Amino acid sequence: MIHVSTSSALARRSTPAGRAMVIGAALAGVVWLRAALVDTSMDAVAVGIAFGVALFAISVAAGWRPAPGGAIRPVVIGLAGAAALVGLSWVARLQGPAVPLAVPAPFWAWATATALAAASEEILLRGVLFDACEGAWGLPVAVGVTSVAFALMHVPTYGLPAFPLDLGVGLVLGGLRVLGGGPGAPAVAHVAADLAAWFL
Amino acid sequence: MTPRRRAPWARRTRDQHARASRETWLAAGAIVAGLLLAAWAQLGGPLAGPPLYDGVVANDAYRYLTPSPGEHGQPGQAAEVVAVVAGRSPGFAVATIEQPPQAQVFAAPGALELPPGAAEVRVSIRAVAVPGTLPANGQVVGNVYAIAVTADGATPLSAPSSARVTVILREPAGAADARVERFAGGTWQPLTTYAEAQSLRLALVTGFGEFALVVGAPGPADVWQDWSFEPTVQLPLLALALLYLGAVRGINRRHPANRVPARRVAAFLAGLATIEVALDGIVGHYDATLFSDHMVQHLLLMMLAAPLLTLGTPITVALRAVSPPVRTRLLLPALRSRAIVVLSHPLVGFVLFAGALWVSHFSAVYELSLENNVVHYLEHAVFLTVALLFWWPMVGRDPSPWRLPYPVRLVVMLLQMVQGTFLGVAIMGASAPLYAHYAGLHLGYITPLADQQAAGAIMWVGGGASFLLWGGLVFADWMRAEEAEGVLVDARLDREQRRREAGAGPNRPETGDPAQIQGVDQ
Repeated sequence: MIHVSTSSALARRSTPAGRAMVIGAALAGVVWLRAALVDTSMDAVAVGIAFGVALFAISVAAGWRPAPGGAIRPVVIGLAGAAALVGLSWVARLQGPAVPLAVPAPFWAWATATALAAASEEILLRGVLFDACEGAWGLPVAVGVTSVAFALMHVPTYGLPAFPLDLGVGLVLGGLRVLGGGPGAPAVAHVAADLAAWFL
Repeated sequence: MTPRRRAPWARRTRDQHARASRETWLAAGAIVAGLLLAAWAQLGGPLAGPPLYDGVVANDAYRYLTPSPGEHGQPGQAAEVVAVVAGRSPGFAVATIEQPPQAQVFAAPGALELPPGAAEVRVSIRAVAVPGTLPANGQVVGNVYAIAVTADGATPLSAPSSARVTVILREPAGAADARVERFAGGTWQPLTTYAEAQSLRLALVTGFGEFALVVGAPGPADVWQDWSFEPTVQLPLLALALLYLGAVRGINRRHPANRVPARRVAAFLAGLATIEVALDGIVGHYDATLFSDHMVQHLLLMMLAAPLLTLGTPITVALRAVSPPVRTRLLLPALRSRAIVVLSHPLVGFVLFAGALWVSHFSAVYELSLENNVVHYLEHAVFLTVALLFWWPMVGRDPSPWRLPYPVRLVVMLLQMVQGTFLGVAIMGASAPLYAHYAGLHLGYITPLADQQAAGAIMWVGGGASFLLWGGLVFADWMRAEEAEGVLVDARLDREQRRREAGAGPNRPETGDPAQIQGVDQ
């Protein structure tokens, strides 16, 4: 459904390893900016939308373009992955009440920003960064690098204790990426699981 | 009759099948490993979090019971009544209204010990005044919350230590790694505290009462314990270190006879390490708590990290590492640009360095930086930048549009030391706390004025010592340059002597040995 083209200057002129490093540096910069903005009184929805747009812009600059293809398979795989992630969390809740997600109302503004941020993260991580890492070092390294990047990028917002959970989730999303053949499946899983947080 | 079209998978070669099989196994392995890790993370912790806990989270400003100017007031309260079913204590999750809530209490079903015949459990959370007794070795950050859990509004309830009853308090901005403490029996008792999210601190409790977050006084044991994981600082530092080391490696491989001296590499890495210590080590941990600590942080950035970085000669390394087109089309024009020529002027560097110190300490900027992390980051960036601009021509190891004679450098550094002394004395001599932030912390272990006097003394003595150190280095460079020049003069005189003795004319023009001149700085 979604592929990386070689239409951008970065994609044409750089090696996969160099591309991966540039994308990683750009991702680190955007994550840094978000962490700094979260500490301000800036509206949380606006920060989330700006974060998603910035990640999407990096992906486009790195060569990502939507390409025609079957959409059913990634959606099915993604929903199955989301069910596993949400089901796991639901089972964990059976132990007792948990920390509620601090979400700003209204729901639709929150849901739009959340979906945009989650989909953009996947297009960048499991799209352009994954392809660059796979081209440079192979598929297993691509799964590992993007999972670690996924876990690291959440540390500024949620703290170091969230690292193991996000690393595990990153591996699941990486597996979905391999099964789906593109970032579509992990994007569906990520968006659905994040939105489910409202209801859990 | 046309043959039936075969399915795509049937046309795959054996290699393609093998590859598809490997990918499927890899995907399955990643998914299973990921789910196991996520399960362990969610089931192993004190409480589970939402699925990815990602996306957009609100971050309301902290609301204080007694706000200082510029702070928000009217913290939220919460109350809930839960019915007892079949004699078993009900589960509940009660939180104040802020996002994230400033105080929360959770109990699993059956966690509380109920008196016989209890019909309902009443839970309430409200911010209260700080009790008369302050923590002996720490400081309360944020509000004190009275959390009451009673049976039928009368009998206080408790829980066995094995029960999953938790209290979660939120840290105000600027506080870090606080622990939950409970006020009981006239003293504050620390509880085992877990970090649930970036600003939420969680403790398992067996009883209720007054709870607060307490940041301890710095001690020797905290040097490693209080190291913060701050990717916003550490990732750029790591990237700079890798970039520098990569450039050095490339130079050394291409020019084995003219390698980058190891002491320069060590100086640059030490400069980066100093920034890390100043911002993420124990120094950075207490910068919003102690003015004296904050002064140490600024001295580390401006008087140690900046000169160490310039000693690493990053400009020379960059010029040698890049390709000739990049050097001639990008770096050299940038170095010769009007902006760099103006900014690198020693007088400009002097004024910016001194101005940054005076303006930040005697304007609203300092107070603002203590309340707002973005302003604090920018303040550190400005300090480091102006310090680099000042030390660049002073250290004089990198090419600069302005090359000062050694005696002039020493005089400029002496003048900078004098203005730093004035600043330190001005801070020391102030009869009242300069910053409302520090004055409002109510530390149990030091008064705001004593802390401020210590900060002034650190500026005076520490700043002076730094200038003496780097002045000594410049003086040593001067002596080495004089010695090298003496060697050249001696060599020239020897050659003239030999020529005169050989009958050559005494007035032939002489030039020094360029190789020896270049070796002065190595």
